[in-house]
Amino acid sequence: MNTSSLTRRRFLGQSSLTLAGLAVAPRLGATVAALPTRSTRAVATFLRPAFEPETLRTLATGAIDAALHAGAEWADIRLGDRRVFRPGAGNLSGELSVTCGFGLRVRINGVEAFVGGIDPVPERLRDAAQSAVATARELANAVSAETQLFPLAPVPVVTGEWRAPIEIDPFALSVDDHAALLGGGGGAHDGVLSRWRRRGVGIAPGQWWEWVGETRVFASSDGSLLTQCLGGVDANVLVGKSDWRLQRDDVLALGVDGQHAQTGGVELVLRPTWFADIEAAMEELARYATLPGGVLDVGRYAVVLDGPVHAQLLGQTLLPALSFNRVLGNELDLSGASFLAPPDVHVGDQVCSPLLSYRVDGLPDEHVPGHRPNMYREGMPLEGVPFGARRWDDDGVPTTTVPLIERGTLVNYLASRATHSALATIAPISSTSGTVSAPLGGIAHAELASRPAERPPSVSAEPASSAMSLDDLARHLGHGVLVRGGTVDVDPTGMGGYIYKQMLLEVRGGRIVRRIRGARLQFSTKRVLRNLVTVGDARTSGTVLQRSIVPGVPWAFPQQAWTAPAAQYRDVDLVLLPGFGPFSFGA
Amino acid sequence: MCAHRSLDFSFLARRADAAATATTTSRRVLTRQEAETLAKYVQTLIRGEWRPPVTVTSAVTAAAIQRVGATSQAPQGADVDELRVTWPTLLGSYNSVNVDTNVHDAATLRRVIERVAATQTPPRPPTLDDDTDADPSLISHFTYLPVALWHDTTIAGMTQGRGAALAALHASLRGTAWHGMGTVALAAQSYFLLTDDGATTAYGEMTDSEMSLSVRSADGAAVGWSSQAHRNWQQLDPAHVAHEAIAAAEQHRNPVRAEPGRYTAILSATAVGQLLRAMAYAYNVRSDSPFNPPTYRKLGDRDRRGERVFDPRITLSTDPADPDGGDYPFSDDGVPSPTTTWVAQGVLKARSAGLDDALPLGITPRKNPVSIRMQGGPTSVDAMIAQCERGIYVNRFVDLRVIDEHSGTMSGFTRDGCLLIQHGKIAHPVKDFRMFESPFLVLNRVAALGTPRRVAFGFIAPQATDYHEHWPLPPVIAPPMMVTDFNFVALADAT
Repeated sequence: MNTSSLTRRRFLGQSSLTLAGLAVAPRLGATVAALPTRSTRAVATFLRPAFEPETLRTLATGAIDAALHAGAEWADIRLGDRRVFRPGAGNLSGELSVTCGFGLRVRINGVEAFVGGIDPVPERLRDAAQSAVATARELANAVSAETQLFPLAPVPVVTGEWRAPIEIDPFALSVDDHAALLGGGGGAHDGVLSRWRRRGVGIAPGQWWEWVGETRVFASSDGSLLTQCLGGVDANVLVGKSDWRLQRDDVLALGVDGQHAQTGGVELVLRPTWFADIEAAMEELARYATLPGGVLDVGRYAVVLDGPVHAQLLGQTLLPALSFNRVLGNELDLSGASFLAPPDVHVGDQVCSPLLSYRVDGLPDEHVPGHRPNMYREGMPLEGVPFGARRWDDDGVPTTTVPLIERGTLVNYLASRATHSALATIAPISSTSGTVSAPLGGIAHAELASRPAERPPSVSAEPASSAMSLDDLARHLGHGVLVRGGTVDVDPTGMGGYIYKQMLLEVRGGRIVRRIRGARLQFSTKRVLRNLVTVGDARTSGTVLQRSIVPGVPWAFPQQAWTAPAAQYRDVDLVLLPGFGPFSFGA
Repeated sequence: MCAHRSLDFSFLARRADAAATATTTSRRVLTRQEAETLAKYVQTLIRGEWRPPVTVTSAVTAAAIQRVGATSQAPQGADVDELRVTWPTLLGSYNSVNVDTNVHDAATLRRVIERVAATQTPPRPPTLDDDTDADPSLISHFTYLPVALWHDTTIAGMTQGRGAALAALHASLRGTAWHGMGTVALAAQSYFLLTDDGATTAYGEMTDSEMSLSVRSADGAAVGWSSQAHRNWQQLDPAHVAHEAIAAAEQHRNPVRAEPGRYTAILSATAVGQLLRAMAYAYNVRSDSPFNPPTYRKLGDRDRRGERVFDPRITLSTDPADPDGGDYPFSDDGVPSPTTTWVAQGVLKARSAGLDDALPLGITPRKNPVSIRMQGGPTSVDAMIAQCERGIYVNRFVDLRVIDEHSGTMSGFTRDGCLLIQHGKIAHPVKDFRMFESPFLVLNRVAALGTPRRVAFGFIAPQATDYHEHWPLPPVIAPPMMVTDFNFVALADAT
C-alpha cells in the first residue's frame, strides 16, 4: 500500500468503526491469537476483549463485598484486561493477546494479605477474598507487642472514569492498514540503502511495535470506584548491519531517535518526521560502519551516553533506591537496602550532580478533566503524554508530578498508602526542614495480579534548557567515548552495573574517529551519579520501556517508561571483554 | 466430542475451595488423575489431524515477609495460585501457546479451549529433522525413576506455618539492636504431560520451602544473612536461621576496604552452589562452552568427554531421587532424566541434550543439570581458615552472570560483606568485591572441600531481563570450598 494514502484523515474515518455485535468472550487468563498476514478485518475482531467496563466494576465491588463479609476490615482490588497487539511484517503474522488479572488486598488488625489471580470471575474472586482473610488471620501470629502497625495513609474517596487521549484506535484498524504502517516508506529508504550498499555497507531497518490497550478498574472498601481506559504504543525501530545480533564485541545497531513509548493511538506514528528519522539513523549508522575498529586502552574516560542508555542507567539505579518501602528496610532480604536512606542520606542532601533533576511524570494538564487544553501544532500535542499515563494510580490516588531529585538534591521518596504512615518512624528523614517528604500521587503501580509497588509508570530526567545536541556533547568530549544504544544492567542491590551490546565510538578532538571493539563500560552507582557533567537538551531525550523488578515472592515486573536526555559523565571505567580464541583448562 | 460428558471436573471446584478455605488437608494442586482428566479433555477438543501433547501445570506459592527485630512491622502475605494448560500450535513465529486459567467448571473450560482453538492454526504432526534418526515410537517406552518430592507437612505449613515462623524469627531478635527482615515461602506443584498418542503420560509433584533472614545494625555497618531450604517445611529451623544470621552480622561489623586482586577464596556452600548453577548451560551439546575443544565446529564433533577438566577431587552428579533435593525424573517433554554422573574425579563423563540431538549422537538424552550435587571432602570451614595464609571468605554472590560462554567467564558481586583471613585467622570484615572469574578454571584450583548440604539461594530478585527464574529454584547440594587465585577484580562500591 502506498504510504501517501495513509493520511490522518483516512484513519480518523476508519476509527469510527464500531465493534458492534461483539459478545463478551469467555473469561480467560490469557489468550493469544495469530492474525493472518493479510486481512481487511479490524484487529479487534480477531480476539474480543474479555470484559466490558461495567462488568469489571460489578466484579470489583462484588469482590470487596466478599472480603468484608469474610471479615476483612479493609480491602481494595484492581482488575481488568490488557490487550497487546504486535503487528506482523512481511510473511510474519501479527499477534494479539488478551490478558486478564486481579489483585486483591485485605487488612485485618494492620496485617495485610494479598491474593493475585488471572481469572477474575465471581467464584474465583470470592474464593480469593476468603483465602486472603484466612492468610491475614494466620499471619497475626507474627504480631507481638513490639510490632508497629501502620495504618494506610488516608486518601479522598474518588469515583469516576477516565480515558487516555487516543484519536485513532489502533485496534480498530485492519491488519492490512497496520502492515502498511509498518512497511510504509520502505520504498523511500531504498535510495539510502542502495547508495550505501554500493559502498560495501549493508544495513537494514527493523521495526517492532506494540500497541497496548487496557481497561482497569479500582475499587476499595473506602468507597472509591475508578474505571480507566489506557492505551499507548511502544515503537522500536532499529537499523543495523544484517549480522548485528551475532556480534558480541562490535555491535553495529542504532535505535531511531523519536521512536519511543507514549500514550496515544495511531496518530503518533503519522507524524511527518517518522520516516525521516529512520533515514537519518540509517545515514548515521552507515557512517559509523565505515569507521575503522580498534581496541582502546582500559581506563577511565569521559563518556557521552545517548538518551535511552542514560534513561536505563537512572531507572535502574535511582528509582529502586527511592522506593520508601526499600528505605524502610522492607526489601532487605530481597533486593537489599537503599543507598539513599537515613542515616547516610536525608531528604535535603545533595546526592548527585546538580545537573540532575528526576521526577515522576504526572498527567499533562490538558488531559486532566476541567483544564483548558494547550494549543496544538500540526494536530499533535506540544508535549507527548507519557506511556502508562493514568488519572489515578493503583492506590486510587490522583496522579501528579512528583519531583524526586531537584538539581541533585533529594527532595522526595516514592511512597504508597501502605508505607506513607511509616515516615514518622524514620527520624530524622530530612536534613533541612524536618518535614517528611513522600507525597502520594501516581506512585503505586502494579501489573494485573501483582501487588502495587512504588514503581510509577513513567519517570523522566529534565533536559537542559539551553541548546545542547548529541553532536555538541560529543564535540565537548575532547578525548572520550560516545555510547550509542546498548543495554544497562545493574545488579539487584544497585551497587553497580555495566553497559553492553552497545556501539562504543572513540572521540578525539571532538571527532568520532573509530569504533571500539572488545570493550564495555562498567560503573559504580554512587560514583557515577556524582560524575555527571553535562546534559543534553530535549532533542536528545529518549524513552525506554522497561520492566522494573519488584522483589517478593513471586517477583513482579511492572512496566515503566524511563525518559532521559543524553548526558556526559566523567571517569567511567572502560574494561575489556573476555579474550577470544581457544579456551584451555589451567590444570 | 462426547467424551467430556463422562469426565468429572469437580476437582477444579475443590481446588478453588482448598485455596479459599485454607484447610490443612487440602492438596492445593492437581493429582495425577485430575491432571490426566483435564489433559485428555483438552486433547479431544483440539482440531486437526494431529492431537498434540498437552501439559498441565498446577502450582501454588504462599509467602510472607516481615520486618523484624528492633523495628518490627506487621507481616504481609502473598499467595499465587495458577493452573496452566499448554499445547503446541502454530502462532506466527512461535510454536506454543499457553492458556492460563483458573476456571473451575467444565463448560467454561470447554469454551476457553474452543475459543483458543478457533484462533490458532491447527497443529501439524511433527516432522523428523533431516539430521536425526529419531524414532518417535521410542517415546512410548519411557520409564521414570521413582522419586519422593512431596511432603504434606509443607502443604500444612501454607495455612498454619507462616505466621509462626515469622514470629520465631522475630523472637530471636527481640531485645537486640538488630534490624531484620524475614521471608518465608512455601510452594507446591504438579506437572503432567500427555503425549500425542494419548497413551503415554508423565506426572510429577513436589513441594518446597525456604526461610531466610537478613539482619543489619541500625547504622547499616554490619550485615548478615542466613537461609535454609528443604522440601519438607518441618525441617526448617527459624531459630537456627536467626542465630546464623546474627552471628554473620556480628562478624561483619564495620568492614574496611581491601585491595582488589587475586586471593585464596573460601567460598561458602551457597557461593559454590551459585557457581554450579550458573555453569549448567555448559553441559548442553549445543552450547558454546569450555566443554568443547577448540576444534569444535558443529554438533557431533568430538567434545571433551573423557578428558580431565577439573581437579580430581571434583565429582558432580544429578539424581532425581536425591534425598537432599531431587527433581522431576523427566524433562518438560517427558524424556526421562536418569541418574547422571557429569564429572567423575575431575573427568567429564556426560553432556546434556534434548531428544532430537541425543539420538543421532548416540547419547542418552538428559536435561541441563540445574539441579546438581557436588561431592565434598573432609575439611571444615574452620580448618580451611586455619590453613589459609591470606584469603577472602565469601558468603554469597549476587548478579552472577555469564558474560562469555566460550570461556565460562562470569562477573558478579559478593554480598553481605566478606572476611579477610590472615595467618590462619579471621582478621577483619571487608567490603564487597566485584568478581570476574571462570568457575571452569576455579574448579581446577581447588585447595579443600567441606561437607555438602542443600544450598538456600534466598529470594534475591532476578535480573531485569530474566523473567524465567522463579522461586523455588531446583535444589543444588554443594560443599564449602577453598580455591586459590580467585579474581576479586574491583571493589563493588569504589568511590
